[in-house]
Amino acid sequence: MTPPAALHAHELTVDFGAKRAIDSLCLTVPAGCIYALLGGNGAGKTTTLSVFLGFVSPTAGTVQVGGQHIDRNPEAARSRVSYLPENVALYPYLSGVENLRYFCALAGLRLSANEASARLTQAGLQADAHGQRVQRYSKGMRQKVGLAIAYAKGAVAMLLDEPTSGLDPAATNDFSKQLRRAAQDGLGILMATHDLFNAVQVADRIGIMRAGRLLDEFDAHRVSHAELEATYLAQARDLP
Amino acid sequence: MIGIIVRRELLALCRDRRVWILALALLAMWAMLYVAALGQQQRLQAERAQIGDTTRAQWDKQGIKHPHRGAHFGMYVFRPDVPLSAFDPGVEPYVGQALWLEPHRRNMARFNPDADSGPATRFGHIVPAFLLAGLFPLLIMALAFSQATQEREQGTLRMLQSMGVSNLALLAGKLIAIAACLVLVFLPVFALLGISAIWQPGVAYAESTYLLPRVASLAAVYLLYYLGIAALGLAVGALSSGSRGALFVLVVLWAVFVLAAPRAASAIAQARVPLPSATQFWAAIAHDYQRGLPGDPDLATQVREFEAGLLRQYGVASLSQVPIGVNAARRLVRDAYADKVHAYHFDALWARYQQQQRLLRWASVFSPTIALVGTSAALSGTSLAHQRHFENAAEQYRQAVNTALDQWDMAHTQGNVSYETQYAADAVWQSVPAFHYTPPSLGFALRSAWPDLLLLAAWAVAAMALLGVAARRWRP
Repeated sequence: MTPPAALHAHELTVDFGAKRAIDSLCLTVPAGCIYALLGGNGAGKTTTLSVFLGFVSPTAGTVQVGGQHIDRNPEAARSRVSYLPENVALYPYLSGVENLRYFCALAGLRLSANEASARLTQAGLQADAHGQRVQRYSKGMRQKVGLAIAYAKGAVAMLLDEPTSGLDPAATNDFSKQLRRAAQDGLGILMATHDLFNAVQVADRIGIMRAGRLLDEFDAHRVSHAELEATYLAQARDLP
Repeated sequence: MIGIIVRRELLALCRDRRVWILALALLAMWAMLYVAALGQQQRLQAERAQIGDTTRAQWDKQGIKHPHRGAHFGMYVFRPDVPLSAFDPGVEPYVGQALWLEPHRRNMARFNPDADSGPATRFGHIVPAFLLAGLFPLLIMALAFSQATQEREQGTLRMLQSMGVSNLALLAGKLIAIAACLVLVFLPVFALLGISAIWQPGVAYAESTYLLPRVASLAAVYLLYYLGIAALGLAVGALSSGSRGALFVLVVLWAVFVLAAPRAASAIAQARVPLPSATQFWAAIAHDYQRGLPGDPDLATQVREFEAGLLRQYGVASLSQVPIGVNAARRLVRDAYADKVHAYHFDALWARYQQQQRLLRWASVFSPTIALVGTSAALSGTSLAHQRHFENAAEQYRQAVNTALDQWDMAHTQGNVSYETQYAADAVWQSVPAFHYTPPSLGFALRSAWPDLLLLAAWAVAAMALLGVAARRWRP
């Protein structure tokens, strides 16, 4: 029997009052796949992530996380997904280790301080930063803690919202390596991004959204950066 | 899950120095106020003890005189200062603390401490209890709302919700953590209150059996109040779109609770239930004493009937032949009626005070602070009910002293004896027992304050319900 897709949306429609934010979206992210969702501001990328997280209810269509319907069984669905926002929000008065232990405990995973520290190292955070309060962390360091939290939750799917925005090239490269490792571990990753270059580098599939609709999908291994850019700009300018 | 949230919240609160600096500043202010109030209480107590001893010594050494003239020498009795009045003076500053006891007449309590206050009174009374009831809620509100708004503003709410944490569990965890902090801060305050009250030199009724249950009840009531305030702060924080909006709403609520509602309610109570002027009050007593209360014959008729009864009882033709002191016997009858008339009018006056208090209680619907103030005064032994208890005890003592002196006079004389005759010596005055007042029990305080307690509990429950609503509407 085929295992269920990590993330699956079928004919997903979301209306905010009179405004249609997502229009009949069909999207599947299998396990071990990194899917980059490209699009300009207001294209519906973040709303799509919010629907998978259960923050926004669909107006029509179905949404599943690891085979669980988010509207029928929201708790089970949420337990199968982890989330990394653009700015990883952590508690400034707690250290990296304490933040990781707290979020893991909420997900039902009790980590000792040593285990938490090992996971932070695994996520690429330097050991001398583990005990520091996160109010002193750079954005890249926070992303790594966020990634460690996402890993530790043991989810089948990961949702990333502009994860490399504001990161320097070295940090972006580090982050991409961590993502590839997560995919190799079997996670299905949906990443909303503006970063075309990173999308081509790290993703397996790429989708372009505009006005709530998925206009194009590519196999990332068979498309060049130049081709993707041309298509993206054409879609953005509404050119044929 | 709530346990995990509570532990994190406590850790964050412990590491937030701003909270502790503010709490310590307020506690230091409270301690200063309390120490100053203790000093003032001890000074007043010493003054009262000295005046009480002096007047009693004068009473005991009146020398030989007519017993009724001796009774008219009169004496002061003072309300013993209850130890917790330094914490919450309740109505004490505004009502008399001494009663002048004399025959025929029940006096109003006089010498209210407020009259002796210095120019600082112009800035309003700030007593230790007001600091806890009025100012600490502001700190708790500020602490509570930011716990909710920060989660949204720093983005952690989205992270938490993505972890499957329910809003209700999160808010409940925060409330428990704040409550734990409050216990941590306020238990030493109430422990200090109990210890200092028990150890006060020269203050009556400082026995631990009287004080400890009261201090424990006070701590429980204040914590219930704070729990409601914290729940309200969290709910407003969760329902508001940002910190500024939440702060504005809470400052307005605080001003209504602590400043506007109590004053407006007092003004309404006074307007709706006006008290008679002193002139009207005493004129009504004088009128009813002479003319008789509704259904009673006038005083002259009552006295005539009594005298006729005396003649019949002893089978004599004139009062001068009656074998007991007729003047004293007549006085006993007249004073018994005077006591009845006074009781009638004083009860009516107290009924009006109680009506005013009931109106104030209704205003608790708009302010939990009003309910807390009423409960706090009752548990501190400084409420209106406690004042009435003291005045009733003093009145019973006055009646007992005058009855005893008149009975002695009646037994030691015969017929009509001139007031100029002197036949009672110091032994008579010294036979009058001193006034010993036993303040009412905790049960009395709770019985008198149960509507306030109920309202306070209702406020706490309503605040929790609002927190439940806020949990449903809390969005990242």
